[in-house]
Amino acid sequence: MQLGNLLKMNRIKVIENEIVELKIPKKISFSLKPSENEFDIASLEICCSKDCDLELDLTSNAKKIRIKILVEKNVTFNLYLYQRLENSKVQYNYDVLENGILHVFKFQKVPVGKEMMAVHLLGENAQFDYQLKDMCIGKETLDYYVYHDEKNTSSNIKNNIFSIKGGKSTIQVSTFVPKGKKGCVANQSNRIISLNEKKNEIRPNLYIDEYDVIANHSALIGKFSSEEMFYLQSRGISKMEATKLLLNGFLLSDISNKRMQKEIIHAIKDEWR
Amino acid sequence: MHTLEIMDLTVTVEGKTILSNFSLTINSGEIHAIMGPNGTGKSTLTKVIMGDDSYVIENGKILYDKKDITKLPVDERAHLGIFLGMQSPIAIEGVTNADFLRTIVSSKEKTKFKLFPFIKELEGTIEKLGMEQEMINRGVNQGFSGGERKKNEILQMYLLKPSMVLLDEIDSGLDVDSLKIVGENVTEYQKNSNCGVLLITHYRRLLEYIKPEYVHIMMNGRIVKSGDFSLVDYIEKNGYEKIEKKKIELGTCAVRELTKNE
Repeated sequence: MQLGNLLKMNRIKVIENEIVELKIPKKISFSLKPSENEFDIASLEICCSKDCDLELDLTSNAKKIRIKILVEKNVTFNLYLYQRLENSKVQYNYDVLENGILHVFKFQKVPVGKEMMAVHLLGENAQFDYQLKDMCIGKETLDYYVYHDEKNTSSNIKNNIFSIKGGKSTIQVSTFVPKGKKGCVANQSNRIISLNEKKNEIRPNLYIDEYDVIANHSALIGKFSSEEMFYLQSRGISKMEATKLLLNGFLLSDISNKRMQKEIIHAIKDEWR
Repeated sequence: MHTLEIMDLTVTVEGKTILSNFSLTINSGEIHAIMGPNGTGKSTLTKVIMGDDSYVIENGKILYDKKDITKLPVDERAHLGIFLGMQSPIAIEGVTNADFLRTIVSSKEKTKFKLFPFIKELEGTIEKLGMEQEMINRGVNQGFSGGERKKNEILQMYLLKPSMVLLDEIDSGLDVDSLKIVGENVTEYQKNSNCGVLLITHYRRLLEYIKPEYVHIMMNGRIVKSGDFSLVDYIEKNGYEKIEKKKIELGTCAVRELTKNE
């Protein structure tokens, strides 16, 4: 049953400049422009015109990559994104039109990288939900911008970053609601669990110029809480097992896609005893 | 036969004394209840017995079967058979109850762990406690009501089969029906396993289901009065204030004598 689900999933797999797996219905159109030299930008554009799910698997050593995704009116698009880019500068642009809903579930294991994400909620009731599960093993900089360009739009950004080995994460999330864009909901939650001594940083920004808005943010950098550890250990679980259990929960929560769950479990086994 | 001995325990947190020369012994088969006003160190006592390192033990010892466990890690105390049912069990995001329960039982049973008997026991106990089967797939205590959390603690008690059970205000947040289920199940477990039980409670209603042989009144980090079940009635009638007044007039030892004479 699980295997069937995996096979049925629409999928684009890109390794370097090549599409090595392509299984998409007509409702998704896309274009790929490979980089021709080191100054050039490789780009992938995807347009979703009907409700669907897609797995996008990116492996590349290109220096600069741009991914552009458009969700058309009244369309719900679930994107499962795997990023395996080394030492790249990657830019994501997400545009969501009226009544469009974009759910992004992203898993990445970053040795070194810089990433910029710009989200434009271009039509009324457009919605953007973003779940990042990040195993940071090198220096990474994430810079996210979310623009509520229309009324009654909503954004929920949830970044769970696990920093280990030489991992050093700097994340800035900036949400903008201009004057007059009433009824917007703008939430962001950023958590970095760090098991090393590196300095991690979170910069949450909410630029709200309108009264009729619901906006929340939370930020946490640290280890798993002593209450959680005590609770688990009081049931006979060792400190190491308790940490592993909490780590599984931290990186697997809200992820129902079986392939993504497997990837995350595999990465935890690889990087953590 | 197991014995938990708390000997002259003085505990501080951030320089403030919470337990002061506290002593108590609990044997297998005994049910002890500790009552007392808020902030007298009752919950601290259970956490310290379990090994919470947020507290500093300034003086005294905790022995389990004559073995000094004062510095033993929390998980090793659990492996000895000590179980703490918490007042406010925390929710753990992303960790399913099924994974959690399987992990705690496999940690205890190690190579003897077998999945099928575990599932069978789990399902039977869930039914016995009147819990929804689907709660097994939810995050640990996530979205659970107060009553569901407490039943989840009792479920863990059943699965871990402890020899010494500490229950910290297990009755708080329970409706009448759930209180009956929790109370009857703790009593059933205690009778079948002959474990020792330490109950922390504010109310008589729990003690009607789990009848303690020993009742202790705790104030300012120590036991000021001990007696049998009749002490519960005394507290219901007179409150703690009267005991406190007598304690000030006569001192702790005299209060103990007074209880005997009353």
